[in-house]
Amino acid sequence: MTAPPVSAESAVTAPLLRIEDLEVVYYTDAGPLPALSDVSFEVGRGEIVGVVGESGCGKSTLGAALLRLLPPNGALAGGHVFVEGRDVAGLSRGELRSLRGRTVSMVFQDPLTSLNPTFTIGQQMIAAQRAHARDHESKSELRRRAAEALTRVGIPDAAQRIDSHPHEFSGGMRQRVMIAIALLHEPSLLIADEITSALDVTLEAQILKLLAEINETHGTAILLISHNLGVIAEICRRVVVMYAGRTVEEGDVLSIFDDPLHPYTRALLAAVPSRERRGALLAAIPGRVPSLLAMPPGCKFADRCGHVREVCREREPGFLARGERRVRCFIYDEELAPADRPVTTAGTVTP
Amino acid sequence: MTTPERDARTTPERDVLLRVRDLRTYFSDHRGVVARLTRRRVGQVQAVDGVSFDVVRGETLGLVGESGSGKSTLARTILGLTPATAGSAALDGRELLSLRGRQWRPVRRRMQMIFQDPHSSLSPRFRVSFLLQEPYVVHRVPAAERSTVDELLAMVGLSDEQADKYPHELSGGQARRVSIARALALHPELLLADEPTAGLDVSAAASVLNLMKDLARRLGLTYVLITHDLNVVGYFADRIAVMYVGQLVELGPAEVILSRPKHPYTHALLACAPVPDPHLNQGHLDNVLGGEIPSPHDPPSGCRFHPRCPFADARCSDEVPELEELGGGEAVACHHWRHIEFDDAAPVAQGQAT
Repeated sequence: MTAPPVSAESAVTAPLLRIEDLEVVYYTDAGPLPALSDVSFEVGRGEIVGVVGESGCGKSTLGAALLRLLPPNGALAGGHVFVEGRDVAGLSRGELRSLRGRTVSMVFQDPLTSLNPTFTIGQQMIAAQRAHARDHESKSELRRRAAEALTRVGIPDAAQRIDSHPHEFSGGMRQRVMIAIALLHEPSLLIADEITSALDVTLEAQILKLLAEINETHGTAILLISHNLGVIAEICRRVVVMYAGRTVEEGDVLSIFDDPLHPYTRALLAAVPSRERRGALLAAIPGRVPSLLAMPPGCKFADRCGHVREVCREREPGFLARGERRVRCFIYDEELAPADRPVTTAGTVTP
Repeated sequence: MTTPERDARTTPERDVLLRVRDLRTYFSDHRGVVARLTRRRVGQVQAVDGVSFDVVRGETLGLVGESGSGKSTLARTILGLTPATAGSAALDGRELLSLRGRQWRPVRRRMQMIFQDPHSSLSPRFRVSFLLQEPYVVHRVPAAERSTVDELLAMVGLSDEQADKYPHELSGGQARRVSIARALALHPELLLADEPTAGLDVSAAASVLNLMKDLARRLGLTYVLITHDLNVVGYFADRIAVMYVGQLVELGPAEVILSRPKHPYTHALLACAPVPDPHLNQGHLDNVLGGEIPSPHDPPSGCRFHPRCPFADARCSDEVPELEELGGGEAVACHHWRHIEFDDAAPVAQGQAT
């Protein structure tokens, strides 16, 4: 397969992944549902970026939209996804196939629904390579490469285990197999969608360690989608917080956790149980994520926010830059008169 | 294994609600059709293998361990949902494991379980109102002693509109509240909660934990909280019991277990737990516990943790360590706990991958 035409310059200077004002709509009997809107961020080469938020905030839709893997009733309704400077929406089928797997790979939460139970791991890994076959590589060559990939993700006796079926692997090992398959073509970006959510803490830590090692040794950028703030804090360098289909805050991991700007980010962090919070009630966020069917007109977090002002219900705040960070909240909107702005709790934020 | 007399000495004057002694739950393992037809006994799965502990009235005992450690089987055995192979479990002095059929009924009113997945433990065919009254029908509770649906919903912080809903119309957090309300309908003293926050978002999990805490205070409930989430036990439990492949490896007051774990497994679990603080994570993953929990079908010899333990020596693979009482309500099953110094910069050396 020949590489799609890309000017050498754009591929080098453009960020690995650039999402601009992305909008995704699901068409349903109840009408079009805005699953994502105004989502913008970038992932640089070799970076680990975390996407965090509660269920229903659009994290998984985002992952699927990046590779044009949305279900049939979902569509990109606006904005752009650029991978190495090329707009994913404009790719032909062949180009898309080369993008998936070669440039960007994805691993999902449940390996058992991603792996075919009737074929051995080796057969599936050979098929995955054939989908991108260069020239006429022999089966034994593909098999050798598959075994290598399994060894790389820490599966012992890979040469033997390659002939096992998915059910013969434990949950943690299956997730390693999925990662091995995703890495077969040494993609520049790995999208990991809740891949440790079904695992015990020990296996979760092993998988996170593996991801960090892959990032270090191969320079693979990782987009880590998780609802677990602990997981995000563990290996991510930058964090994107999502709420109700929007990016509400973005920044480097230390500033997000040390000095969260958006009231939602603060609320999320305050709700995590820990031994330090023994004896105190946890600060659960009142209310629920708004339904896609009944999105409030203004800020989507307004109904659950302790700082809400009139302006929050009237219109939606933009994704405002604050130095290296961005936040979608009127607290930081300096175009608003201070009297109209919601106030933040004293001491936590300095303008 | 500890003898009852020895344990009794550590908790003489305290008000023990549930006393479990040397409890064993084995499943016979007939593998495949041929083995089943020839009744060839292939082996046994020792899901719970000699567990002893007390639960004091009003406390929360956190039961932690990886999946496959036997936590849920232990709870099910105590409730008589899975037959015990040997040992004893007594609620308020009354032996449970000899109960048969109908004899369970008055006892089960006093202890209820909150099952792991509310959507599979609430029948999809009935409305919430029916699900909340069903325990009264089963236990033939006279009308005067019943709480109304609205009272039960209010108790768990749900509005009465939820009464007419079916389980699939509820969110994860609401369904969890309904199963808590259902467990509370019979005014139990002891609640066994199996992963009550699993699958919930941060905020929903926080409000379920707040609810459980509030109910404990208002109703004087006693909990056995089964979870693999150390942040949850750290927040909630008064005492912690750590299980590994069917056995208790460490038991003690929560503050002690969390700040000065003695068993290498407990230490490894704590070291692995993801903490939402990027400052604490520097080098954290260098010390991840390797390997996986072995199958209870064929547990390792000696100390069951020895293949993954960085401190293991020949003795550990030969000799089963006893759960040794250390005083202060602490107990640990490790040959070397006295000599182990956990270096917190490098808490646990890597175990061999299996």
